[in-house]
Formats: sequence, C-alpha cells, structure tokens
Amino acid sequence: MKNELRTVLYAALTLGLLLPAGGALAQETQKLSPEVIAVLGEPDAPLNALDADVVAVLGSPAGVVPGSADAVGALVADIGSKLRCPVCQGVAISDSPAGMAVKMRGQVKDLVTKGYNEEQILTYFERSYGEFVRLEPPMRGLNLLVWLLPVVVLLAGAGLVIMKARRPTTATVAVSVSERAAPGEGGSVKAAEVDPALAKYLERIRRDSGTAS
Amino acid sequence: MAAGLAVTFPLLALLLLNIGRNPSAINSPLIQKPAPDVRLKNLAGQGSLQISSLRGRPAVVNFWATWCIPCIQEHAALTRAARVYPDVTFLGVVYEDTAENAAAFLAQRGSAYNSYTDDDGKAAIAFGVYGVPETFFIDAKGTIIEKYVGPLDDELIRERLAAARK
Repeated sequence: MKNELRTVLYAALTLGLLLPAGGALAQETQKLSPEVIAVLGEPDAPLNALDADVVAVLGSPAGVVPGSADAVGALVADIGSKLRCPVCQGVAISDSPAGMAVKMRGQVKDLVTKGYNEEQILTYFERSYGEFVRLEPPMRGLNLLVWLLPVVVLLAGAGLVIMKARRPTTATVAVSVSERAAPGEGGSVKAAEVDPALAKYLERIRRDSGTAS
Repeated sequence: MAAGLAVTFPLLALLLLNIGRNPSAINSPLIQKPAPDVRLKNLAGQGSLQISSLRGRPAVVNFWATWCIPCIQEHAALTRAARVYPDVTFLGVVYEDTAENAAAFLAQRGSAYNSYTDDDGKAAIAFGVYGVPETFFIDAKGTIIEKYVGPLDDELIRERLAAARK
C-alpha cells in the first residue's frame, strides 16, 4: 500500500516535471502566428538544408561528396570550366572574375558539397539558362552535327586535294599546248580547239615569236 | 560551284531570317515553367520569402540594382502598377548590389512593394538572369508567363499583366 502510494507520488512528480518541458517542446514546433510572419517573414531554414528549388529540379543528390577540401576545389574548378559565364563573352565561369561568375562558382561548390554530381549540376544551370550555359554542347540531337561535321568536312577536303593532285590541271594543259604549238615542233595542234579561252594567248605567243600566220 | 552555293545559300538565308534579332537576347527556357522556388531574404535581413508562397496570386519579380539607370527609370512605373493592381504581388530582388544601397534608394524614392537581397546570387542564377533590369511575370499557378529584359513602362506592364492575370 505504501509502495503504491509512493509510485503514484513519483508518477505525479515526474509528470509535473515533464509538463513544462513538453510545453516548451510543443511551443518550438508550433507554427508562428501570421502577425509574427508578417513582421519577420518565415523563419530561416537551417544552414545545411537542401535548397527547395534544387530539390525541385534535381531531386536527391546522386554523387559522392569529395573527401577533402582540395578534392572539392578540384571538382568545382572542373565543373566550372564546363559552364559558360552568362555576362562574359564565351568564357567559362572558372576563368572569369565577374561577380556573376563568382556567384555561380559559389553555387557549384554548394551543390558539390551537398553531393550532387557533375551532370546534375550542369542540368541545374541548364534549367535556368538553357543549353547555352554548357560550353561543350552535349552530344545529342542537332548537336551531333557540331561534333561530326568538322570531321566529315576535313575528310571531304582531304579527298578533294588528293583527287586534284592526281588529275593534271588546265594550266599544265595550256603549257603543253603552247609548247607543242611552238615553231620547230610543227605547230600542228590547234590550241583554240583544245580551249577557246587560250586562243588569244597562243596568238600573242606566235606574234611575239614571229611565227604568226 | 554548285556545292559552294549549296553551302552558302542556307547560311545566307539563316542570316537574313535572324537579322532583326538582338544577339544578346536569348529566350529564357523558364517560360511556361514553374518559377524557381528560391528563398529570398528581406532587406533588413530578418526574414525571408519563399517564391512558392506567392502561389494563388499573380506575381511580378523585378531584378534591379541602384547602379542600373534603366532600373531607376522603371521603378516609378512598377510602384504605380503595384498600387493599380492590388491583386498582384510585386517584389524586387537586388542584383549585384548591397542591401544598404537598396534600402537607402527605396527610403528616398518610396516604394509600393518589398525588395529582397540575393547576396549569394542564388535567385539570379535560378531565374537565369543575365543583367538588370529583368522582370518575370508569373501567373497565380506559379508559372512564368513572360520574361522582360529592359526597362518597363506603364503600358508594357499593363500588357504583360493581362496575360499573367488570366
């Protein structure tokens, strides 16, 4: 009986001690009143929280957070070299001192330290600036032309050069015609028949050399 | 000859078709997409605003700076518009400028809407901002209807709001 009384007493004591604590806890999780929000705005999110916008675009991080500060810096520089600085002229954000480039590098670093991988980070910037923000156009769709056309044109050019080198040119034909038309060689070939455009030159050579007809 | 023409003519046509375009104006990929849900700190640094909390009303998000002369020109028009359209949330985001400069400017000129800081540039990056002034017109569902680059006047705001308020 005495024991039971003691138990009840302890229970009441514990409850009494817990209640104020519980009240404080409840207050912490309680929503702020609209008046407070109107004056101060919504409370700031914890510093390490994932940005709502980043999560909306990318979902959860699919990469690994680099182990050291140096590794983070190297990855930030690597990804930064693939992103175009929007306020510069064709420069990567890793190579620009512009304020916007500095801020973009900051965002890249933030995303790297949250564990987002390179493709996710490029995708995040692409959502806002379009494919233009990637310095290297991804190999897909029409972009394939950008990657393949130079190779095709180079090969076609090389082929053209080889073909031209094998075939004698009009200039060599003209020389051989005038040589053959020279005095002593018979001059039986009528150059004008080979190429009418050469007739006047042939005429002049004949006149100058005194063999004009 | 024929091959040369086959290459030159399409390029020439491309040039002629685009001759009136501003080369620095690149279409925003955000048009008809949800507005980036970034969090903005107010100028006093005490509270913040989440862009998604604007849903339910059309909104106008104006990126500006005190060093930007066209921004100063359009500020009066935006303030007038904020008074004419009480059903629309207008807000400014300070771009590449300090909260002190912005607060001093607004105290001097007066304003009918709040401005927020973006010290780490995350809002400007998320909205794909190239420079100031740039203004985004967002409908009540939180979809970006239009992005306007350059200074706005009463008429330009009225036209663009007509689409965002539908």
